[in-house]
Amino acid sequence: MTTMPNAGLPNAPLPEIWARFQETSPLLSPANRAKRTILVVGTGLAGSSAAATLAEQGYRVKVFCLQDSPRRAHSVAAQGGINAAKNYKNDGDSVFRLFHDTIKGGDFRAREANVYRLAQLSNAIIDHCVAQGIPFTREYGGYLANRSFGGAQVSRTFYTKGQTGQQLLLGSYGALLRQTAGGRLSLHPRTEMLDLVVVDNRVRGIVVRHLLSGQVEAHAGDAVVLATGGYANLYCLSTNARSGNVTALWRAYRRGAWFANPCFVQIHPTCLPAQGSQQSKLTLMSESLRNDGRVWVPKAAGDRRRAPDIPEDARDYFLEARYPAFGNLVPRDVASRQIKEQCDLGLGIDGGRTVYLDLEDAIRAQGLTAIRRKYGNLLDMYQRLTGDDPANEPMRIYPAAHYSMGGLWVDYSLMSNLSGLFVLGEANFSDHGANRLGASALMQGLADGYFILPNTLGPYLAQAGPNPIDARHDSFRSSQEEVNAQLGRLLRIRGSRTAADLHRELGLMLWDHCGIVRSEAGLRAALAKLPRLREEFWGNLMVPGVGVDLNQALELAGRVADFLECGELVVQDALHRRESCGCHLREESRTEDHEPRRRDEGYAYVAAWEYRGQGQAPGLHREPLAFTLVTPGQRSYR
Amino acid sequence: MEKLIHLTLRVWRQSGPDRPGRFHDYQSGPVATSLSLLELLDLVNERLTLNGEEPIAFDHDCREGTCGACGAMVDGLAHGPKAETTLCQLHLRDLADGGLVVIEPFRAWAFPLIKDLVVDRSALDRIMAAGGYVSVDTGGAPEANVIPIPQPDADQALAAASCIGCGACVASCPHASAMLFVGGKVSQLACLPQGQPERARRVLAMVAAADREGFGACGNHRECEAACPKRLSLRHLARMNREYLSAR
Amino acid sequence: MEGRARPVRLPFASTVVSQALMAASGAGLTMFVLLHLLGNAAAYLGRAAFLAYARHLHGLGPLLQAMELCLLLLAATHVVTGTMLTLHNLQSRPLPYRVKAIRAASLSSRLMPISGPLILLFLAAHVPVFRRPAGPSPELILQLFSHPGTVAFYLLGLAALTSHLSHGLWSLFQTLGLHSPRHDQALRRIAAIVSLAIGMGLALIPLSVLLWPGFLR
Repeated sequence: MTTMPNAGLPNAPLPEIWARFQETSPLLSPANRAKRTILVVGTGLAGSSAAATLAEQGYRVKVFCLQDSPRRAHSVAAQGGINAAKNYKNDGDSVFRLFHDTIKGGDFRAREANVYRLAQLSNAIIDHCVAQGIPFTREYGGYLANRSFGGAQVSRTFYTKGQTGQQLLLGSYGALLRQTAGGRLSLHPRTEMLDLVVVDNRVRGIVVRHLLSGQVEAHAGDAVVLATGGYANLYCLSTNARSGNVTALWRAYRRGAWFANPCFVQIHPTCLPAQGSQQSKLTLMSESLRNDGRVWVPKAAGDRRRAPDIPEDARDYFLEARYPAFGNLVPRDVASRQIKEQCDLGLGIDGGRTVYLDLEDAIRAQGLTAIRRKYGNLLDMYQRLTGDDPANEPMRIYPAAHYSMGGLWVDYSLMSNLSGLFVLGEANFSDHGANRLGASALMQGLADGYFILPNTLGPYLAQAGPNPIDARHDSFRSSQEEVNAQLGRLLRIRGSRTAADLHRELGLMLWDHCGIVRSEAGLRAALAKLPRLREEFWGNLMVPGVGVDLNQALELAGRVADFLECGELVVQDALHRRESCGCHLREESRTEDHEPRRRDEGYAYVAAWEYRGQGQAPGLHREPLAFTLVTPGQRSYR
Repeated sequence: MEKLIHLTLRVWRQSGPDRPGRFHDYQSGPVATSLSLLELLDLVNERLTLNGEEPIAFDHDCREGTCGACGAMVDGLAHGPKAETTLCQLHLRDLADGGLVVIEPFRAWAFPLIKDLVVDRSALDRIMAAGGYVSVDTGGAPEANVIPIPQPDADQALAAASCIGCGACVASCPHASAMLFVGGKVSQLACLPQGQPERARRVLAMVAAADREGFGACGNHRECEAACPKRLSLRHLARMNREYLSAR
Repeated sequence: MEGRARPVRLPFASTVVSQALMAASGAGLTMFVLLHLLGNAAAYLGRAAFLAYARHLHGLGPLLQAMELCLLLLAATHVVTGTMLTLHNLQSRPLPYRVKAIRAASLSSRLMPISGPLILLFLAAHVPVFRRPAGPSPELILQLFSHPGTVAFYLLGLAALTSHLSHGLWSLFQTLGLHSPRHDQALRRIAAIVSLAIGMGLALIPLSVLLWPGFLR
């Protein structure tokens, strides 16, 4: 019943695969490119870099984003930096080492050839971004500065103070706008993709809703590129922007695209905790704070004293105690899990879901000035958001959903199993395996958009020929009708709960049952609850207003409807993967000393799920993962 | 225990660009001061929704002060009374208990109103499209460290580039001028060697685009700098003027 | 929104060029005002010195006419650019805020579109009276400023000038791109002092006539 996914890898040694691919693929002439229309959905780093580069190459490009400007895509919020194997620090870095760190960081659940290509392309990204005038931080001599990041042993992270994502995005956004002036690229902001049109297993175009007029329109193209980001907002409270959603991916999934490793969602340990039920988002605090901050909780549950009043011997520095070698610098997943365990034991501050991240000792040892020099902007941000000064009182943190490694399955060309549907950046199941290293999301988005897709799209189009179906075709009309029908249905329920309220309930439930720590029983409980919640949604939802207007409640309702279905697939995937892997601990899969145990014998594959219809169990395709240059080993931070 | 306050929100409601608009008052009820003002609007919207009324439309996205989507006048100040803060990071503890909070959309001819607090800021994109970039195609770049850039220049460029495109400069300017926005990009690229080849063309084209869009002229009132959530300095605007005059 | 046609009246080549022309002509006019102030100082050296100064000035002949022409050109540039920019700026926010607060803008900067026309009004009364073939005679000055109403009118005009200059003198450096934050505080202070000195200096003559019986006699 299942087909073996074919990654479409040329037969060559790992370091030569990409070159071999480029040398042996058919090309599309510039004259023919001008006749092909490419639809790009999403304008984050992957989408805008792809759209700009394709227009440079001569394609006609239509770009869609749901924000009012392409510059607002959530890549803008990435603070840390972008990795590249430049070895400017002469500290032993290389393409192989970046590849190795990335695949190991992903706990050996990514496709080796893709990750190797990513490492190979990393240097060209930096070259291009510097040429675009991105003001990277520099040394006194005027050369590019690097820092170490996310537990790497080399300094390979390029950055622009705390705004790396913003600056890189402004670079690709500028490139995008430059092409609008050339006339080859048209921009469609405030437009949301609501369906994918597939005829004869080939993608023909998309159906979108213009968010101001509410009009549902069809756009035909020779290929569709989804760069719509991740779905961490499944958990409602996450570090993602509020508009982050799974809708484009989910509608593509329902049209036949495979969804790979949906349960791999990264939880970031150092976020500001939720305060009350109205909190709309969890803001990420750079984990660099863990270099000097000590994580602790009161030893006694119910100790309600203020932090400065709790003496040293009544504090439990649980990361330092449990992991003396790494202490507070254990990887993200370990820190997140330990923090959650403490809180689940009732040891969280005031019995709630938060622990202290304390700079007191660092301030005493290094002085407040030195600490401010290192983290000034972070401390200011904390104070702005909470009203508390971290110099006087320890910061409060808690883990939050941050990044989805899972996404639509793609082959080596970044094309899904549907011909003509390409998926880039966080939206694809990606090169990060079961966990993503710091400073590699920006790298992947830009590698996909600037360098990979522009070299794989031509070969596809050269083979597939032009799309003979235009937007007046029946398939577009029926898809438009379905979209309109669903919008109408959402508006007609007129029940007594808002989409935001139902989203919160879904998020809390998934956080508890399918978050950092997962168990058979918890996942089964979630599977039992999800259909009831969906029923509640479709029976008791309240969406005010009309469809042919700016209606933000209607937009959210459509996205929550998809989250409710996607959540089930995420839980199903988590349930089937009976191993601890990457950022997730599976209760049933632990070592003797209670650390996570990965099970390569049963689960060294990519799980690609296929939609089999409403109410039907999805089909599972396994893409086995073979490693030729690295040997999978168990991680240990003891 | 969390501190609670009570506010009256006086929000501009307007169902469409050509419809009449007016203020409408909403009582917050007791709310925690840890909420942001946008979270309070979320709360008001949920209540409106359950009453079958139209919620207040407003733009927002990242809710951490970097995407530039949010923005409104709060008590006559772009993004509200707190300095260097976007609307999404304005918290109720920054407002007076029991007070009246007037929330009005950004107003400018170049920012036509769409609905309630939502305005169309695409004019800023069109200014950028006129020249806010370096014309380099993917693939042709030299090795990144070939051209060293003095650290002060790189720092200046980054300071100029920190603009998030929220439009608070326009909204707060008595002339609805966008010159601080233009100045940021012009100044960033004028500081860097990569920006030199198009230096003159860029500043001329971007200023012409801003004029075409109907933004006002800069009268050096300094409101933009004070309202900018990223505190973009007026020096970038002065540099833009210098660049422009020497380009002509 | 596509339908909202509005003629965007562009001042000259661009707003930046207009601002620069306004700034440069304003700088030129300020230079004249400073010269004017120096001329006025002659009145304090006694009646004879003042008469000598007036005679000397009018002895310049064609040179004086050329200077007057320059001044006229400067003033015309300043007024025309200022008017066009003001009209342009009025259009840039057709619907004003119901509630608007100020963060940084000085009163004088916001009053520019009012202080400018006030100065023009003042000059319309002042120039025809004093610009006569024989030059200003002490008798004229004494006669004019013996009326408190005239003095009050002059003080009002000069207050407008002071306000106008206190913003303009700082602003022109910014507009011409000569400004840097390092000198900002100093520049603002200098602008305030110079404008105040000009305003008070020019007010001295009418006040002296009114309050100092021996003046110019």
